[in-house]
Amino acid sequence: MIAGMATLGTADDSALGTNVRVVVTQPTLLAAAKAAVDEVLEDIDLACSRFRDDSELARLNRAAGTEVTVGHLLGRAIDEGLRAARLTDGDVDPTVGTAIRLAGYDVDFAAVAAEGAPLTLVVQPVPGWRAVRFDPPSRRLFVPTGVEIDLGATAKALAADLAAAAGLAAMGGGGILVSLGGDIALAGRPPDGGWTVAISEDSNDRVETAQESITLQGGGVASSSTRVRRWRRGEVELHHIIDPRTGCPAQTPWRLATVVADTCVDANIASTASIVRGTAAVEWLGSLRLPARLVDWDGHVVRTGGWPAPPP
Amino acid sequence: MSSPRRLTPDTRDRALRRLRRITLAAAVTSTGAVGAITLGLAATAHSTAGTASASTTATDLVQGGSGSTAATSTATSATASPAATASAVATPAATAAPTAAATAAPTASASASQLSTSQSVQSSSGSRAQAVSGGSGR
Repeated sequence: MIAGMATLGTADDSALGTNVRVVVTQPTLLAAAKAAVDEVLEDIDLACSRFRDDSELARLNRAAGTEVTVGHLLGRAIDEGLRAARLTDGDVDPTVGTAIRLAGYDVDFAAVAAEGAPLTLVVQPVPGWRAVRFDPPSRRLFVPTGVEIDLGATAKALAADLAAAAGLAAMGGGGILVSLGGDIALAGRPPDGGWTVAISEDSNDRVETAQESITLQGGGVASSSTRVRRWRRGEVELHHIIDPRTGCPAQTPWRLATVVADTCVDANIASTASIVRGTAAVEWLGSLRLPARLVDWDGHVVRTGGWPAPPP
Repeated sequence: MSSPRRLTPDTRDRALRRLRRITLAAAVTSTGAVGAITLGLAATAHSTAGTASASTTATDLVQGGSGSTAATSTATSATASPAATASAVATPAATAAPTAAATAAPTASASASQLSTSQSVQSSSGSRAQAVSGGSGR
């Protein structure tokens, strides 16, 4: 669906198992921007999907134990995944593939059964990102036998960044917002007054029902929530954010973490790490001066790093 | 090709603290009843030449439906040494041609050594929002 509204053009769609929104400041160029975004998303899906047998990542996981040369895009995504692990002391780790699969998230989320038989989960650290050897210049990659890579924490946000860049290039100017399931990348010149982003627990929520909103000129915004992408096995609810140190869904005080950073992928790294890091995330985010908003299970909101208080 | 993961003291201590306080909600009972398990972990740790390991034994507490029985979860190692073999066989390039996404302009902090932002954030009225940031909806 493509529609022009006021001075902005907006297109809504779905890809990568989630909702997609493209907003541009030059409505007449929306179709060109959307086509460029679509191409990036198709490329990312083919390179990084854990749920497609024909994806490069699926082939990589099947080839664990041998050294391979990966393509440019998967190499970029692997590089970001390992960088995320370095910057978070392993809170965000691309070697959670086996753990998330065993927890029941083993197909595209739309096909994950909402209810199912009880599972046995074993508390065991994931293999760890240091087990992966990657040389970015040559794109030579070695993943040990028994290790499965999952780039879910970073690839979608990286896709938003790359899609926004590609959409902007296709327009030749102006400004663009690309949202992939609530991971938002901004590129080019913002509209008058800046981009306004509503914050909510589920990116499918309507803006009118959002908890609060912010305005910014560029960069990226990402949210991680333990209240969406949940499934039940037996009487227990599980979610998709794995704590690498237990190999199980993170036990966290936060139901929602939203972070602003220079890029969407950096914002996503910080929001995901905040869920895993728990209460220590507040001080960590503050030390990085990343504007962040955390919501605990009782609904209490913690703002740090310059995140503004809502209007009275 | 690969070497065992070596944990720093800080990382080891964090892992142990987490293991001790884990409350894991998942267990299987003989009748399919499931309850929340609090793992009472007796964690031990030792360090040898910089390589830390921790073993835990889970004594579980099952709160659950009728007929529930004890279940066991065991964390056998915190070293997470990969079962990597030393040998690696080179294979041809998996993908040859750069894709459109790969050739798109790189993001500003693709190689940034820390998470950062220069963005200034202002509070706003939600009624004019162009997008919603939240959990990944379907």
